[in-house]
Amino acid sequence: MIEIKNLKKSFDTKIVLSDLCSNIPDNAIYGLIGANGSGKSTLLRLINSIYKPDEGTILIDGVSSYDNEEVKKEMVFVPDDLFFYPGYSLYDTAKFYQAMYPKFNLEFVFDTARKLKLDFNKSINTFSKGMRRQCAIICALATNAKYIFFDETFDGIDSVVRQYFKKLIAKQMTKQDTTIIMTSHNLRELEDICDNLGLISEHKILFESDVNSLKTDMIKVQISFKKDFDESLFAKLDVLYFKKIGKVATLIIKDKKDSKKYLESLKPVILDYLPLTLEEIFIYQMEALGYEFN
Amino acid sequence: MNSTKLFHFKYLWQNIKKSKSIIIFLMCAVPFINLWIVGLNSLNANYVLDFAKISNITAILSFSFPSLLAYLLFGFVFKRKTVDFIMSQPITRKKIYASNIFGGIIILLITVLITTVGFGLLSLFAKIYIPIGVLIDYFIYWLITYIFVFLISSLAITFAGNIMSSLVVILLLLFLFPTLSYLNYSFRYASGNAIYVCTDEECIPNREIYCLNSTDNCEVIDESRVNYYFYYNFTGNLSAPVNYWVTSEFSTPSIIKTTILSLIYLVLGYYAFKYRKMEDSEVSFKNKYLYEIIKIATFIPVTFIAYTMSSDNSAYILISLVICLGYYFVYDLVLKRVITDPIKLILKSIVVSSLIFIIYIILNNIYENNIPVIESIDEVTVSYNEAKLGISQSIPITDEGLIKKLIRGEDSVGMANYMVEIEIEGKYYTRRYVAKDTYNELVNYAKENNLGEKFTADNIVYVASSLDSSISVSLNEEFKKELAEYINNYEIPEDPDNLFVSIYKYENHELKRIDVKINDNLNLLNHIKTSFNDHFIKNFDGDEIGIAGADGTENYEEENQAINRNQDRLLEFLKEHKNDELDGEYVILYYETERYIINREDFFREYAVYTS
Repeated sequence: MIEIKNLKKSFDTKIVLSDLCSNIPDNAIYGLIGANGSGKSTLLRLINSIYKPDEGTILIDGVSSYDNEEVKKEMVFVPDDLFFYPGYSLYDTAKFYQAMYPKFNLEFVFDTARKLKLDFNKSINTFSKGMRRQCAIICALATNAKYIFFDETFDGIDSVVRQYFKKLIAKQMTKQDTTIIMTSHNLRELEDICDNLGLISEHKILFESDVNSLKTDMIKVQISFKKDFDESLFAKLDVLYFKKIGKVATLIIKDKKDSKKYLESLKPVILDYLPLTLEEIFIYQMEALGYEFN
Repeated sequence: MNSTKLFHFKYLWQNIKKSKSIIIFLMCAVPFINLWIVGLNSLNANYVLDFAKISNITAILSFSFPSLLAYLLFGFVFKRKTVDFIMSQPITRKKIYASNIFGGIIILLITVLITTVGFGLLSLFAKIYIPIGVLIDYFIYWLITYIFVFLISSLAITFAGNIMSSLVVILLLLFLFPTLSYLNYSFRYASGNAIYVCTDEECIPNREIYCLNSTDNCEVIDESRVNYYFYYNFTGNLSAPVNYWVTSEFSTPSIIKTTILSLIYLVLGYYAFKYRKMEDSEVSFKNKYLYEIIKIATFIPVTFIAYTMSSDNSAYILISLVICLGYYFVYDLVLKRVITDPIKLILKSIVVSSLIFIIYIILNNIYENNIPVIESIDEVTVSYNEAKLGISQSIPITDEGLIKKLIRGEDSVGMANYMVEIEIEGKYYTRRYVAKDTYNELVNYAKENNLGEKFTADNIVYVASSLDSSISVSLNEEFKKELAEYINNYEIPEDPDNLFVSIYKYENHELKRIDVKINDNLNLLNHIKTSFNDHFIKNFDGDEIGIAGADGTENYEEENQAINRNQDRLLEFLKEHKNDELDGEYVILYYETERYIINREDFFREYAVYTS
């Protein structure tokens, strides 16, 4: 488990993270989303002890990860801006990782590279951006580390390979007791793979939850009545969002026990329950917390 | 201690492997350049090479090679993506630092070893000779120096955020102390060309007519004598290596100080790396105060040039000002790539250079008013080639009468061959011309008090013809013992002679040479004769051959004509007799620098038979 308490990091006078707290459970795929420059990469660098926090603690399984070789053997980080040694092939890079990680599985690299038709002996720096990221992800997964961190995970990878990697990551999860932390500025990218999500904004994690409870927590409704109506009609409900166009209103409400019964009791002309995208859930949650994005 | 707790050998191997081509290239190029330059310089001349001669190019390479190596191993800190890659690996900062330093030192060690062995092979197979002692000194001195520069570079890279700023720090750490020392020296030297008015007891600087620098009118001589008086650069020893950018002399204090400083830089480097903020990559100096301090430190040598120019000639004041201002702009442009506030920059430059100039003026005045009076002598050095003893040596003197004579000196006119250096207060030297009688007195004093340097069989490393050092004589223990005994009782004769050999000894990290006459010593002649004779025959190309007696007399005109009438026959004869043992009077056949030694009686008797 990763426990982050009151983390603070500034670059000169610019505060990047402040009083950030988070708990990332074991054996989860944790998606960290936030706008560009919100501090996602910095947080990952802090967890991976590339940077030192100004204040606060980061505990990995109860132990500080900073400059701790034993803990870091169970952590691997794939940054957004990838680096490979000049002239190194996938094989050379895998050998490097093998030298650093005791549980590294070279066979896994061979197999996966073969399936993805990656030339094993060609210099990685001659590969396309997407292929380079594939190499990095393969090497990271091959380390068999307990904690794997991907920054802008699928950046540059086409949708087919992206799906392949999502499956591979899920397989890794089931095979090992792995926790994967991924960042993206695009929530849709993480939607179908993450089981936990955290939103980083305003220097801290504003909101984190597991995806299932998020989805069951809210309902999106389109509703219409014969008579004219306004938001006050739903005062008894916990309305996160209300928008009326003509005679049809769209509502997002916190799903409490009797919400649906109450709506039906109002005898609407139209009552449709619509599926919520994760993006909408986040936006409405944030609006509910007082953050306005529009 | 378990080495795996300190080093991560797999990481080290991978880190070296990633730059293997460059590292291997450097490890080959550095010895090659050294051997090539030294070998090239020795192609047409036969040398006995001392430490300085084989170190010239190494001194230049010692800046670049270890720094480059440090960049290869630690340069990852300059780029965010390489920082991400390396620092996220399961390895502690301590291990990264220790492994890189260890790896770097091993690479340097191999490189210096290859170079040293290369010099050894050059000595065996080329026309040069490098004593084993020189090779050992070379290996120790340059290995330590290379490591020193490597540690400085590693520290500088850890301190700085980008390549340019690290280069500035490297240059500062390497050159600031020697530069300050040099500046100090320059002030002392400028004030030091004083004219002394000497009595029997002391020499007092004449403050009215002291010379500011060597280009002033210091040549004027009145009743007093002009004496070079110069500062012995002891502050240079505080930095290390001692002024090796000026000279590459082996120096034991320098080695010790370099080693101590290396250890200090090693520890500083470790803490700098351990606490380095890795987010500070790709910027010059994060801390603005540190930026300014380093800028001022680098400004010192620039202001000194400007100060020297403007104090020599007031017409250069404007140029000096432009240099000072220009430097401030260039520095910012190079390191920050932007000039934010030009007016502020100009003001800063003027304020800082004014302050430094004031310090220079104060220093200059202090030194000008503190030219010491010479009233005692600690030691006298009899200079090489000028010494009757034949070799440079230091002689401590307690004889009051002799001290007074040396303090007073003599009229310099025509005395150039009798010059001694005297050491004062352990810090200063002055050269003084002395009369022949005083000189002889000094030499006799040294002999009587057993103060001269002694030769032993062990420290004789090479014997060659004094005329042509390519004629080397093979050394065996018996010959070396005889030579040592001969030299220790040797006095250079007043009259010129024609059969000298040069004997080289390597002692206290110095290669010294003494030219001794061996005409009178048949034993020694028998040792060297074959080498000389072989060389004579091998290199003969039809020159006119002369004949001289053992005492140098050349009254063999008829014989001379006879032998030159048929040189081919003569050479046949000489080939047959080249190994003859000398057992009495002998003659020397010669052309150019070549000599052939043969028993006089045999030569004339048998040659007469041979030619008849």
